Amino acid sequence: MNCALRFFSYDFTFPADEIPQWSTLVERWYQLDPFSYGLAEAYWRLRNQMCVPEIMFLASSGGSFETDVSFSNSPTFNPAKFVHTLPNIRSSSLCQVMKWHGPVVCVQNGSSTLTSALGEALDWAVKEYKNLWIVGCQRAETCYRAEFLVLSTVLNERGAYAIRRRTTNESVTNGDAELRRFLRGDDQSTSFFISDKYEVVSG
Amino acid sequence: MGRQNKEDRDMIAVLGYGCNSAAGQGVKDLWHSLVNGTDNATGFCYDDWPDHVRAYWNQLGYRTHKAYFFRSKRPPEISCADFMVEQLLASFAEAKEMASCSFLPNEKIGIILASTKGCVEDYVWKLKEADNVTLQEDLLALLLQKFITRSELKPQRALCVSNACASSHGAMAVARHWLTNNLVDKVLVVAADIVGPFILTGFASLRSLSLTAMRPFSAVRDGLRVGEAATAIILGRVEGALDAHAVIESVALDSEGHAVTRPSTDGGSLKRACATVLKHTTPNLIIAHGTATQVNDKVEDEVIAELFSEQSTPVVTAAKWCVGHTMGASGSIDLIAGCEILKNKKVFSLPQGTRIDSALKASYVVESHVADVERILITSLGFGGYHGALMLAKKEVV
Repeated sequence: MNCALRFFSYDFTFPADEIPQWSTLVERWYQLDPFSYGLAEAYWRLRNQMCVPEIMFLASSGGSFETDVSFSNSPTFNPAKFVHTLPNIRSSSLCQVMKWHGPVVCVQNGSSTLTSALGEALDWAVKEYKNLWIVGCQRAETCYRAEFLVLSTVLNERGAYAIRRRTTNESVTNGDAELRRFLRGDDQSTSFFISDKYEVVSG
Repeated sequence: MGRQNKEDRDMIAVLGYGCNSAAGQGVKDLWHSLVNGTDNATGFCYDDWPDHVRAYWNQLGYRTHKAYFFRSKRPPEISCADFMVEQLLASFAEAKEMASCSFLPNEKIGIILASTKGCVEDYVWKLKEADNVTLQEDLLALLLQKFITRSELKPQRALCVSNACASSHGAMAVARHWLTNNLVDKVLVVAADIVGPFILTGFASLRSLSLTAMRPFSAVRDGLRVGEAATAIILGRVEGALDAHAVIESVALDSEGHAVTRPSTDGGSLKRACATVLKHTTPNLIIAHGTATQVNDKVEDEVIAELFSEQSTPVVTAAKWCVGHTMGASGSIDLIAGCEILKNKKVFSLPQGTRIDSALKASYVVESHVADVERILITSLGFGGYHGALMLAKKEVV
């Protein structure tokens, strides 16, 4: 199979300390929760480096729990907060900034959400789509982090990583923490098992 | 059903289904309520809600609001998660009994959970914002894992899909992909959402709850009522599925970047999703999302009018007036209702006595009647601009 993977991440603090450049594209941008804001801001800054996707997988590990607690604690139950208590909502601002529409599947699988979304996307890439995104946003230690995994089966696309079929049968125990370490180059591995079928290999 | 052309391979079979809703435990109860016009909404006591939530509810004037609850109440010592798993297991048992094939030991199984909030009520009221929440567990994944453990199934694939009120359509799209690409042999799609103070105050804050009754497409519609449901649908490949109850011919998803809580006024995203499933076939009937809000019903009506010519417009019905808007499970409830329509050769209507909004253009079912329906288009609209469309068909016509 011919499939390239590129990984982008963008760290940000929230609330924003300046009006984003895409503010006119998103209705009431100032009411976005950190995850919705982050995906839009990250895309805006990285947009020239990424192809347009045909389908997106939104990896929402932990769902929208941080926003759920924020809503439940608000003295007046702000509806602007309630609308963000669905994990899929964070793709809405992203789609608005991208001026994009298409199929989006919001998946959750605990500490393997990103890995599951990538595995799912790989299956869809092999069968149906050429350009796919896996996007997610999470709280990091001192900030928030938006992540874009861009898959492409277009042969002239080069990525930092290649996807290939596995040749071994070891069971996969890797989760998102391990995947992130691999993609950020924090460990010495040259390959990473995504699923029982595929592995990611450093380019 | 042994053909090998591409269209066959893109279709999946509905092998069995079960549900629990405000209509009762089981598909029969749901069906009887739908054809008899029974509105299963009930009032509820909110004395045990957190103080600030109760105060907010009273202030909004929703004291007489009704919602749709499971017939059996959750005992206070049982968590929402365990209660939801019990309802899902019961629905799964019903689905297994209906599916003449069981899960064979050598079969590869996939399980997908469709839900919007899972068991959030177990956690959200115990934490304060200042606690610097970092959720260690994913509430949907936790629910799914509990279900898998209790069901004793050993799935090769398991995933949670949370596409707001279009979660079931999202789950069906993933299931279809798994099956038509031979990644698994059967897929169990389970869907559940429950109603508690979090959901009720949320929708109340949006001013989208009805103060009267749920009346989709009615001239006097004033909003929705939320409902609890737990469903289980067993899906398999079409080839060799001699006992399929129905066939899902196609599923399509589309998300638009318009606004968070409402679709674009021209319904572009819903139209795209519907157009995809309408490529080769025309339905006799549409089960609409029909939430009875001014915006949703108007947009759905516009889309239907644009997609079909006056001569070929299918009639439109909806199910939420009977068991409520069951959120992540709503698309599954509609699919089950659609399967029962195909089986019983009868179409249920909108609430009895509905006076259809004269501004709407489609044809609406106002009286239950006998009809040998062949194909049903089922639509879902979700917050965040998520839309789903699914074509359900009698196995004899595919």
